[in-house]
Amino acid sequence: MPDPMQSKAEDLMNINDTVILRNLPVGTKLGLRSGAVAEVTANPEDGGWIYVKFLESPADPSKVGEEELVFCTDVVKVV
Amino acid sequence: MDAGKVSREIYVNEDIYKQELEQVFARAWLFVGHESQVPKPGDFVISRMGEEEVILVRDRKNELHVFLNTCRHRGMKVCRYDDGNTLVFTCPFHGWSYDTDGRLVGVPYYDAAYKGDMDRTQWGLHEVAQMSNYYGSIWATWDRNAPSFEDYLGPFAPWVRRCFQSSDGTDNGVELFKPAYKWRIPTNWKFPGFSFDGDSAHGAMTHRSVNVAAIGPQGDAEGGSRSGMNNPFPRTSYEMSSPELGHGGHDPIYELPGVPPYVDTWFTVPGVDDYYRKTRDIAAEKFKDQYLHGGTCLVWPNVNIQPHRILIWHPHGVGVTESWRQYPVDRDAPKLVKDAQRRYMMRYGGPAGLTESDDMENWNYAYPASLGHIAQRLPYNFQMGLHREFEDERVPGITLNYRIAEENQRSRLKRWLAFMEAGSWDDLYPVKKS
Repeated sequence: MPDPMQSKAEDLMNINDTVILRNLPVGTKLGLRSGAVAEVTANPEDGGWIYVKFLESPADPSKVGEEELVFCTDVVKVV
Repeated sequence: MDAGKVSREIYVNEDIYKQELEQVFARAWLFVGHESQVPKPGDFVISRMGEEEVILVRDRKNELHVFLNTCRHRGMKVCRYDDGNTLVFTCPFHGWSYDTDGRLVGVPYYDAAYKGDMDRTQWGLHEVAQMSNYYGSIWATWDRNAPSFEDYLGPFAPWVRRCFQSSDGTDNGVELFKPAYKWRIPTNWKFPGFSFDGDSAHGAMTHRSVNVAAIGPQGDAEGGSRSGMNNPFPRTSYEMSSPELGHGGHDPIYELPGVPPYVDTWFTVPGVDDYYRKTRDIAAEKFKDQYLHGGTCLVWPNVNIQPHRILIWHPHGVGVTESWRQYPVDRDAPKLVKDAQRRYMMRYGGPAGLTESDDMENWNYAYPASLGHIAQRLPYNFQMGLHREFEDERVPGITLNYRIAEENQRSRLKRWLAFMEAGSWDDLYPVKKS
């Protein structure tokens, strides 16, 4: 698992601007397709899923503070 | 069976083999592994039950589980590593993801594509019907109506308990060397499974070359026997089995209670005897009233449990057996002792070990030589010691025979027949005596 202090956003995206989930350190903030912003809480390192805690969720505010497993296609960017 | 004759067909017939998968391996208690293989939350190790892969995993709440290694969506393996540590098991096909407690926690496009129509709680990993942590060893069955594991063992429960004690007699005192040996041999699983620890007659012939090769830990002392140095305690060895349950091994009953004095054995590795001498003294205090100390035992149908090795005979087709070896060693032993034990077991057993390569030669040729049209007219002979069994009040519930007999093999075959004919556990337990 990369050290979050040493990781740069560009290291976590490939040339198609796809987020490389395997490399996401705990603590990384992500922008999701729903418009939510969430923080990585654990990484299974399977490349498909990432555990996050919702920080902002305009479409569904009840999700703020919730932990969830998010699929790779729902992760839009590292913020 | 009463005449000691058994058709070769039960070892080579494809249809009978397929029935075994349902009648035997979907119902019996099977050995899965040991808790020392998964000490931390998220730790997992792949094992097998019958032909199928299972995952032994410790979940995030520290609970042990045994799951079938197959995604509930399209059947892909959810785990393709032999062991490791994980947060989830994610299927590499479509991405269904399961927590270490088996719950389906991730389904791609769940909201958009299923729109809540699929109940994820019904699609977790398939878990065994019963699991037992027996002094650190993990056993499981697919049948919820099977008796408890301890009842399943019957009078052989102390044997299994002893095999997972350290040499000083501490319960759950061992760990397994990693990784397991795994290799396939071209024979039916019952050739090794039903003869190991039940075929004392084979040693003098099959292992003749090993017996003169001085591979024992004592070097060439005592002629280099592959066994340890002979113990001076007066004792008589027997075949011991349960025809009703199928378990059995060969072990001595001592003529005096207690643990025999230690005999130095590890001449080739200085320091090892010092350790075992100390642990023997501790065990001697604990077991000073016992005449029987257990030792070797087949837990029906397919695992041999011994103090320093576990032999598992997984069916892998009617004519293929996947042979696994696990080696227990005292968890708190110094590295010197663990290394010596590991090296000796590698030299002695396993796919390249000197004794088991002898055995494989027999099983691998007996199978094809039993396939032929003419060959199948001829039954196998299991008449050694037939009708000469007896009982001894020192080992209640166990049938004995002379130490070189085929009592144990007959017991295993009788239990096999009971399983093959039984409709359910109601017909198998409590044990029906004819």
